Amino acid sequence: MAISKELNISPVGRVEGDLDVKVYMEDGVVTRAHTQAAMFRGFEKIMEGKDPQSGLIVTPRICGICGGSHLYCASSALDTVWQTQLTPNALLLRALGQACETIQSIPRWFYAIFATDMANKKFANQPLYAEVVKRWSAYVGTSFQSGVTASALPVQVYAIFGGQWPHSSYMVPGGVMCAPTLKDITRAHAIMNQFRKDWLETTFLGCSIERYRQIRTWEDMLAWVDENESQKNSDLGLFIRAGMEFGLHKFGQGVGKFIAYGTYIHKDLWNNPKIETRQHAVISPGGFFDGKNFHDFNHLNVQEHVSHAWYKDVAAAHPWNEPLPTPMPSQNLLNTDFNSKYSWSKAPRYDGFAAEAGPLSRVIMNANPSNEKHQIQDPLFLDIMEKLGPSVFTRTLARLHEAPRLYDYIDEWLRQIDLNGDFYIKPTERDGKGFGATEAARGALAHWIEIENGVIKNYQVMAPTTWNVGPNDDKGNPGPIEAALEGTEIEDPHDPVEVGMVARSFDSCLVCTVHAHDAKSGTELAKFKL
Amino acid sequence: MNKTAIMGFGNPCRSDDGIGCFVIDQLRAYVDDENDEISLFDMGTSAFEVLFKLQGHNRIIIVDAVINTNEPPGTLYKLPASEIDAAIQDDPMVFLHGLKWDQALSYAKKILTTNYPTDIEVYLIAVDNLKLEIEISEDVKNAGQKVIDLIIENLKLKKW
Repeated sequence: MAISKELNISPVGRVEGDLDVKVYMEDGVVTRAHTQAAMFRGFEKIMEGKDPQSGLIVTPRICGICGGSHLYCASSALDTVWQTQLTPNALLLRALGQACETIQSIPRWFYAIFATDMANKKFANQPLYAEVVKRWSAYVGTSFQSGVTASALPVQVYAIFGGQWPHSSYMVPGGVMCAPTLKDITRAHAIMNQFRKDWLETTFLGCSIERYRQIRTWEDMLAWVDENESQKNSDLGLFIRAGMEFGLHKFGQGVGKFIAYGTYIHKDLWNNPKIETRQHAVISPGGFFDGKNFHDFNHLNVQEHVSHAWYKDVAAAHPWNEPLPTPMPSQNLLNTDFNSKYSWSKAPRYDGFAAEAGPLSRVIMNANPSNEKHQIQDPLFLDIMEKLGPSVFTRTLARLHEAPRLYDYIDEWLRQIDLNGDFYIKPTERDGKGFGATEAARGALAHWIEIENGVIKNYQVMAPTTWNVGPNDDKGNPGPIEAALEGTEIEDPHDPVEVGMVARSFDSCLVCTVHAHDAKSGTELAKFKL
Repeated sequence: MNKTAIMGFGNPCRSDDGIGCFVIDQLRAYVDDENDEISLFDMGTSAFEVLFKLQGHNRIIIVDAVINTNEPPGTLYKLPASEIDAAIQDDPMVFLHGLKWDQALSYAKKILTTNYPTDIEVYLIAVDNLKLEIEISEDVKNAGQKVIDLIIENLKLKKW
C-alpha cells in the first residue's frame, strides 16, 4: 500500500514571512504542492491619487534587491504615457543600471542562496561532495567569501550613475538624472575589470570570457569543462560536474512554458517610447515559449487570477482593468483550505497559461531563430532544453550563463556613452495608460499605470516572483513552482532540502517589506533608553 | 584613518519604519559629498550592503526602527553593537533575501576580522505604525530629530 504523507514547510526561502509550501507525498514522491506567499505587499495602494512620478520613489523601495529593476519599469511606464523623448545616452545609462544590478545578483544568489544547499548532507555520499563543501558552505566556503565580496563591485558602478544602490531614483521619464564625466566612465571600467579578475574569469570560469562565449551547444559545454584543469575546477566547471552527479537535472521541471518581457532597450531604437515598439527595441528578447514554439510577447495577453488569492473575487483581468486589490482574511499554513483562497500572491497567466519567469526563460528567448541582428542570438539553451529539459540544474545553469555576456555588454555600453550628448529631455505631463517592463535578475517585471486628471488612478506591479510562486488559477491549474515540485523525491521528510532547492532555483523573493529591528525584547532594551 | 559611517535603515513606504532613512536625509544638509571624514548611507531595506559599506570606516553609527518594545512610539535607545552581537543568530538558515543588518554585522565580523570596526553604536527608535504609507508620525519624527541633534553635537557638524 502506498504511504501518503503531508508536509508543511515554512519558510522555504529561509526567512520569516516568505514562502510557505504544503506538499502531499506518496511513497516519498510529491504528488501535489501548494505555494503560499505569506505576506501582503500592497505597495500600489500607496500611489493611488498621488503624483504620477511617485512610482519612481515608491517602487524602488519595494525591494532591497531589485530596486533598479523597479525604477527601470516605473520610468519607462511614464515614458509611454507622457510620450517622452529618450536620448541614446539615457537608454544606455538605464540599461547599464539594470545590467549591473543583474550581474551582481549572479554570484550573490549562487553563493548565498543556492549553492549552500549543495553542501547539504543529502549529498554526502557523492564523490564531489567534499569539494562542494570546501567551496560553497555558508560563510566559510572559500568561494562563498570571494564570490559574495566580488558581488559588491557591479553595484558600485550602478552607484556612480545612480547615486546609490539600492533604492536610487536616477531614471526619470525623459531620461536619467546624471551626467557622467570621463573620470566616472574610467572608474566604472576599472571596477568591472576588478570584478572580472577577482571572480568572473578566475574563480568562476577558469578561462577568458571570450573562450567561454564560444559555447553554442550542450556538447560544447561538456567539452569546455573537460578542456583543461582550470575550467574543470572552476566554480562553473564544478557546478556542472557536481550538479549532474547530485542529480539536480532530474527534478524541478515546472510548467514547461516560459515568459520573458525582455530588457536592455537599444540606444537607437526607442527614442520615441511607445508600448507597440518596445518589444522590437530590446536587446535581450522577450517572448512566450509554449514548449515547442516561440510567440511574440504582447502585454495585453497577461491576466491575473485571484480566485485562490486572499483578495476580493474579481474576474481574471489585464492589469489595466484590475481594481486595486481588496485584501481578505488570511490563514497560516496549517489552517489553510487549499480549495479556497490560500496565498497573498495572485496567479498571473499568459494567454491563459501559467508560465515560468526568470533567467531560464531569457536564455530560451535568446535561442529564438527569428531574433533580430541587434538582439542576442545564442542557441545554447534550446539545445539544453531538448537534451536535458527544464530542471533545478538547467535553471541554475541559465542564471550563471548570463554573467559573461552581461560583462561584455556593460563594457560595450560604457564605451558608447557620448559625454557631450544629452541625458534628459524634459517631458510634458499627460493623462493616459502606460506600461513599463524589464527583466529583473529573477525574471519578468512590469508596471502598469493609469493617470487621470494628473494623478495616479491605477498602478499595478507584477513581479517575477508573482509569476513563479503564484497559486492555482481559476481553472485549478498550478503555478510554476507548484508544478515544479510535483514528482520530486523527498529523501528525508525532516530535512526536505529538495523542496528548498526547487523553490530557490526560481529565486523566489517575497520579503523586503519591513526591516525594523526586533531581535531584542523591550525589557532587554530598557537599560539603553535615552 | 578616522572615518565615520552613518547608516539609516528602513522602508519609507512603511510609515514609521522609514525613520532611519529620514535621519540620513536630514543629515545631508550637514555632510556634503566632498566630506572625507563622514559617509552617509541610506541603506533602505538592504542588509548585505552593510558588509561593504563598513569598509574603510573605523566608527559606525546605525539608525533603525525597533518594533515590539512595549514602549510608546518615539522611545529612543542607544546601545553599543556588542549588545546586538549577543542576539545574532549565527545560522545559515537566515542568510538570505530577508537578511537584516544585525546578521550582516556578524557576517562582516567573520569576513573582515581585524578590519572590522570596533566602534559601532546603534540608535533604535520604537515604532508601531508600519502601514503602507509614506508619512512618519510626529512622535517618531521627534525621536529622529533627537538622534540628528545628538549626531550633530557629537561629530561637531555644521551646515554647509
